[in-house]
Amino acid sequence: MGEADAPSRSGTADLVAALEAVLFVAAVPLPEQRLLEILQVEPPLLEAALEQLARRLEAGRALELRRVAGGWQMVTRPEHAAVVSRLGPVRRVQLSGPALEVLAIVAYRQPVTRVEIEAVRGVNCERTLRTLLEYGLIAEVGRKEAPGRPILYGTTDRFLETFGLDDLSDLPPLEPLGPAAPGEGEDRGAVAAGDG
Amino acid sequence: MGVETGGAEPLIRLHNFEGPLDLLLHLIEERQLEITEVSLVEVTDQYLAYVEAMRPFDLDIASEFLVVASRLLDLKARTLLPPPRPEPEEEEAADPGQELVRRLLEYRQFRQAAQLLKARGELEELRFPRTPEDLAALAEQIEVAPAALAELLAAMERVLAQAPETEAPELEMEAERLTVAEAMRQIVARLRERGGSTRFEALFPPGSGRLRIVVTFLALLELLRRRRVTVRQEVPFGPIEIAWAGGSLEAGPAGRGGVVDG
Repeated sequence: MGEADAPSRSGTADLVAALEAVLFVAAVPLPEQRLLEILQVEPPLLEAALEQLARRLEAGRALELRRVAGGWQMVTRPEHAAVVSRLGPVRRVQLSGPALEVLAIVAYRQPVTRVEIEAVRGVNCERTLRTLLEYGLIAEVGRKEAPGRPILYGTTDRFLETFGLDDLSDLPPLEPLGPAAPGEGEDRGAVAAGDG
Repeated sequence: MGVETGGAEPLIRLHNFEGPLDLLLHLIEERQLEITEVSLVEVTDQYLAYVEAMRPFDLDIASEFLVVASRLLDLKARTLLPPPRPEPEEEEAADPGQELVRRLLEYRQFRQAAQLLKARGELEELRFPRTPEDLAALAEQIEVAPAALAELLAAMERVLAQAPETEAPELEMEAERLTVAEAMRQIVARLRERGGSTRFEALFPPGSGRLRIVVTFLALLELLRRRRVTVRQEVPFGPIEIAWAGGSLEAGPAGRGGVVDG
């Protein structure tokens, strides 16, 4: 890499610094398109600059460059969390078990209605949904074309940021459903019992 | 399987279960069983004991548990009878045991996903972005009823619609310098002038540029969040009244200080 950018070394260095400055001030994740507009460069140059900034930050700096919610953002490194927390009360989203479950269902099944969520969990989710809406982790994304036109819920950018996801395809894959056929299940049960 | 669970134990742990599926899954996993109709039958008695113990406490929740209880009993009864002639497809789809197995598997899938999310969230909590001025706090929790917020947004859209599309250069310069904190001070100053309340529209003098309108609106939301002001609308689509709610207006100096820096 070092040789490739040798000819325009100072130019690239300026660009990397400019990129850092923009990300510092913006604070929120900036999509590449936005960065291209702000820095007024071509995509390959931006890509190289992002790469270099990431590498520079790796060398003993407090910040790291991360890709989240479809954009680029600089955040403090996890190892400084304890110190940073002493600065004062910090933003924290504390979610209960049920809230996490509902959030997971919305995340993987979106757009999804309340009734569909409740079908998975077997309990009423109205209050939990309201909490998640208040936290801005989910939002109403439309209405289902079905009787009563129920509200459809989906996750927000804030959800992606909170869980450090770039986009929804970044969600950890769901575990396979496992044995559903009764015959197969019985066999496995027998094997397990034999082992025990 | 040598796992024994005491009969009295359930009482204490009832409220730990979020719903019938949660409880059922717990019972099955406790015995390290696969999720099958056979294991459902195995834990039926235990499940019923839990539900029985729960009934006096929470009727609402109990009813959800009862639905599953009846399924379990149905399933158990079937296993005691000679198996019916296997009929293709239709019969299978209607089988309540199979249905329950499928729901449990699905529920477990999402419960695992929730745990993964939780772990990711905890990791993310250790990374701090810089806080964008005033905005991060806004997203945290907005104390306005959703309806009121929707009305506010609608009102803001009306104000924006009247804003000049293109701004004179001088105006733009002026607007760019306006910070949310400064706009908050201006709103507070206006409220002081007006004896504590003002119309929403009056916050945006005619000719305000879009940037000024947006910044002022953000400032208003921030004041709402800090409960310095309240928003009232007497009738649907009627005028929106902004009122001071943050204590003595005289106490807060206009230029700097307590009112907006808190």
